[in-house]
Amino acid sequence: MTTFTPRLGPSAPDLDVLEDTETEEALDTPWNVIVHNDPINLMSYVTLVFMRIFGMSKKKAETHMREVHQRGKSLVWSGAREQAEYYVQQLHQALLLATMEQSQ
Amino acid sequence: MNFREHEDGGIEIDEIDSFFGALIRELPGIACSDDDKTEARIYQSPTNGTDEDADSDWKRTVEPELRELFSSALDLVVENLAAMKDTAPTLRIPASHVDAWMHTLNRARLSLAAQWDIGEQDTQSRHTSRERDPERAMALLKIEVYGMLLEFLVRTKWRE
Repeated sequence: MTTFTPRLGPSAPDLDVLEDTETEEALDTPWNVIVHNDPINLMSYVTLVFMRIFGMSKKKAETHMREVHQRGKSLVWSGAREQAEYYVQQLHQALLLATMEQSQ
Repeated sequence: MNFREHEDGGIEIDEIDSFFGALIRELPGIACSDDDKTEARIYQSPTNGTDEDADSDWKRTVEPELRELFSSALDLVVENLAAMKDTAPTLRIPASHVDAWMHTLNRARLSLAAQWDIGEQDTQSRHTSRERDPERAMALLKIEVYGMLLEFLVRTKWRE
């Protein structure tokens, strides 16, 4: 990540303005919300939680639930960091194992 | 034991036998276990350690909110259990308390699993009767009984 300290005011006539493109890219890069497998949570309960939190249809919620169960995890949402944090909080509230990570 | 769903979404369970009655009365105590393993399972970090700052902020800001929410859910369950008589007990769960019950049942199951290291092998093989440690066998049984009640509540919510 490019960092710089701006030198402002009259004592800094030769102000260097660096374009912090990497930071901008980092801000634009979506965050993934991932639900991990947990052998104790009931499949029906996980499906209900997905329907409620993400407004998924029962069919879509079941698809994600099965992916969690069979593959160990499922990417259930992708987007802005703040919204990802909100969804992870909701998932933790429902006691599902959930994390967020920035897309590669 | 009879499970009934009322038109308003409330639940009634009557003809509760003494064994199920005893298990259900233990629910709040099990759900609010605070040993290290349970705490680690219930209060997770959002990045799983990959972003320490984010995890630390989470612990400071989000976790207290979750604790408050979980405590409110537990209070509602305790309230309904307190209204259950000792003789011919009937459990009445108002529609507005069903979510609190689902949460508390799930939390109790996760707490038991964390305390007794119960995992996929245990839940898939259904070998409760083959478990040699009687306390662990009882934990497995409680997970199944609470799971049965949770499943019933979830299915009532699906119909909404």
